[in-house]
Amino acid sequence: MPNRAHRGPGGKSLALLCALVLPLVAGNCGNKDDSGSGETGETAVTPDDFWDIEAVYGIANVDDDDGNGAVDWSDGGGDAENDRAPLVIPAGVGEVSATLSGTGIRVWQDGQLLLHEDAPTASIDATAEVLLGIEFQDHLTPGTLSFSGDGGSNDVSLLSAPLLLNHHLQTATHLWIISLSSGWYTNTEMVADLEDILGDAFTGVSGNAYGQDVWIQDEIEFSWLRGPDVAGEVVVDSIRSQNGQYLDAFAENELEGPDMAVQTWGQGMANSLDSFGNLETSPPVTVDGVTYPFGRTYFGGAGGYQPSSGMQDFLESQLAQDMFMPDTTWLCVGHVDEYFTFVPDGSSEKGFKLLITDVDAAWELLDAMDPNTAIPQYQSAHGVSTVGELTRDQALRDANEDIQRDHIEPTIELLETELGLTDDDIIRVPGIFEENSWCHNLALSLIPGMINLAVYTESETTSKLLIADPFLRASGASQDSDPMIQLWDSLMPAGNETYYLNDWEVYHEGWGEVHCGTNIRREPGADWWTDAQHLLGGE
Amino acid sequence: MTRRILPALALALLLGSSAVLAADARLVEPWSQGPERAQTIASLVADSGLTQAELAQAAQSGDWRVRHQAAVVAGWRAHTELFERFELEPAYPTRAGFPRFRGPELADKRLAPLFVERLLQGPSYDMKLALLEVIPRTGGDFGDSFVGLLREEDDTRLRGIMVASLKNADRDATLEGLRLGFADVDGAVRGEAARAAGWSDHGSELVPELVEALGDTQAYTRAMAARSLGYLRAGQAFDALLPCLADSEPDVRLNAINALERLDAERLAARPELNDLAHDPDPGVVRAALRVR
Repeated sequence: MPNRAHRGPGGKSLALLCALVLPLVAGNCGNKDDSGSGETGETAVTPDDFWDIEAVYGIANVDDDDGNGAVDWSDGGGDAENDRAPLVIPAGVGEVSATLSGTGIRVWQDGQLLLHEDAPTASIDATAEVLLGIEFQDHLTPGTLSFSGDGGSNDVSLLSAPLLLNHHLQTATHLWIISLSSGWYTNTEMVADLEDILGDAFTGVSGNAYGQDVWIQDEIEFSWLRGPDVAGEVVVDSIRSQNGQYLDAFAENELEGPDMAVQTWGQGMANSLDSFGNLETSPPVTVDGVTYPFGRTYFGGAGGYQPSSGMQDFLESQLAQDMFMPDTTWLCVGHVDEYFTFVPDGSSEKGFKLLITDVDAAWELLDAMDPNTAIPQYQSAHGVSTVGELTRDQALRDANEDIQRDHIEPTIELLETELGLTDDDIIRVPGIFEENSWCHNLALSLIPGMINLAVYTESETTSKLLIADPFLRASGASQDSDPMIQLWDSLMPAGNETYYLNDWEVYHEGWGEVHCGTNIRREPGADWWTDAQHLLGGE
Repeated sequence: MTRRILPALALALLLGSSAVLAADARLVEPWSQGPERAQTIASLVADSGLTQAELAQAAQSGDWRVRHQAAVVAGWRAHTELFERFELEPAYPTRAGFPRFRGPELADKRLAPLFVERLLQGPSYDMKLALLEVIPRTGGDFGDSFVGLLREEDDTRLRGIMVASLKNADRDATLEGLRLGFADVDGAVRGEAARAAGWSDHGSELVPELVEALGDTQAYTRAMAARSLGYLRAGQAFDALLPCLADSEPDVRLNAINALERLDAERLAARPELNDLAHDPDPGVVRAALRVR
């Protein structure tokens, strides 16, 4: 994985930072080569510092740096290997004995395997500087590397990074969509709009190789791994599609490579809840005094209808984003992205707002409209052609009232509890649902699920919100005249630019919306080894 | 005069009815469901001996099968290009998995008999689901066919979906279809009937069936019956709903609270049952009870 220029707060070089602030965390301070390959160089770490090193933080070596088709842990990774966390033994330390404790950890020196489970002890001549490389097999794997010599002894804790899922406050770097361009079943308008909005940060991948499967949000989840000197990403590949069908091979074909691994958890027959539109992460929150600097992951389900236990168990094992489960079983598709999401709000203390669907807000808007307003877009999909046909439908109102009272309000209570939110952190946005007999009478968005939006975050204060066009207007009328769009624009926090995309036939009529049909890669977050120790069992 | 006219009239009626009967027979004999129907329909469309007048007569037949085949033959003749366009139209997977037809052109009532015909030709199970879903969305007449198919369908889920769709059919088909649903041997279908009644413009005519369904052996049916009585504002069912507050299933209790609240919130608030429900083991029931109380 690529070496990065390590700079500390205020632009101090990492060498200076290491010397002043982080003497207890091993890194590549002063080294010219932080690859862990064994090359040594000038160091700022003194022999005395060495005996004070407390910990080395690395990442799981699950990518394929040499592109030979094998995960690097299994074959050493070759010359391109760059996922071993460096540990410098400064010149002058002299002869030391090193003992490795822990499973799934190896120690390398000069490109040679030095310590592993079957050979945990070795002597190291550190008359001259020695650069060790610590390699981990899996995420959040602990161990200890003990040294003893004439200058002292030391037990260095080893730990690989937890796998961390992205949240909407992280800067976006790229967006993918599956493009369809044959016949009438196309999304060419939406693809063209996204190209205009995002430019080079956008890729449309032809659906021909993927069975015209457009639900890319459901197939993969971007995540990241970091240590002080190593970094990488993992594309978590859902069990949603298997055996090469649909988007099953997307991650391997389009994304996998050096520093970008593909991993899957869970097995067996997937249900709709295993899709990753149902797996999201909140922005950073503090709950009852506990800070979650990387947010909290939420995975929809309830009772006996839940996502694969394998995926849930893995997420729970990563600790830092402490997963919880909103009830999505009242929804036809059953995904969390269908009724709430988070958008940046640079002006607020928390830095974000929770958006959640509110049926009363929708009825208020619809009731204020002329009931004769034509909404021709809705005729074929929903069997209504005027606003009045919606507002006069008492059963539709009652069903939505039930949904609000029995499902959405309890979710708000859950989110307030699990994420430490207050009413001030929440924006209720209009939306109504219909029941669908073909989907066991569960709920689907009737007005396009605008809340099912993609957040393309550009900075701490600006982002682009990619939202389904509600088409609550006559044919040919401009978006500016659409009262739903006007209301949404008035509700969004400053700094969020809104873009309303025509996702009707391919997505809305396919029971998904913009978020379901897109996926966004983001910059990694902050230093978990300093910010999240309290969640990982440390202080 | 009369003596001369009446036999002539009778003869004419006899001849007329014979012609109709002949057309009926040609349209349904032999009757089958399966892919072989495509050839049968093609033959009828091409049969110049089957006149437009006969088709118009057949559209009034007492047999739904005749009415359907008359409609689809007439449709093929009148809207050939449209029917060719949608004869093999695919459905695309939804986010939930199973396929669905998409596009604005589907809101065309002329397509209803064509899609019913595709249904009769025995497509895959998923395609049957997609066809059942799209037929009502055409805006065309479908109640007649669905009621007929409902009587013949063995599959519980398909029967349930037909019953659910019939809430949007014309009055006669709605009432006939939903009553078939209420009488179905399968609780899931009875539940669909109970649910659909609450959404129908003609649901108030089904209040007796809904009240009876409150005592169904299946909890889903009881829950949907309770809900629909609330949706229909069937105030006369208030007392019948009260025992549902003590139902063994939380979903029934919750729907009963919601329904009674819609019928008479004040009267419900005074009911002593709410005290127990406020301590119900189900949090949803507790929430509803506290809201009302």
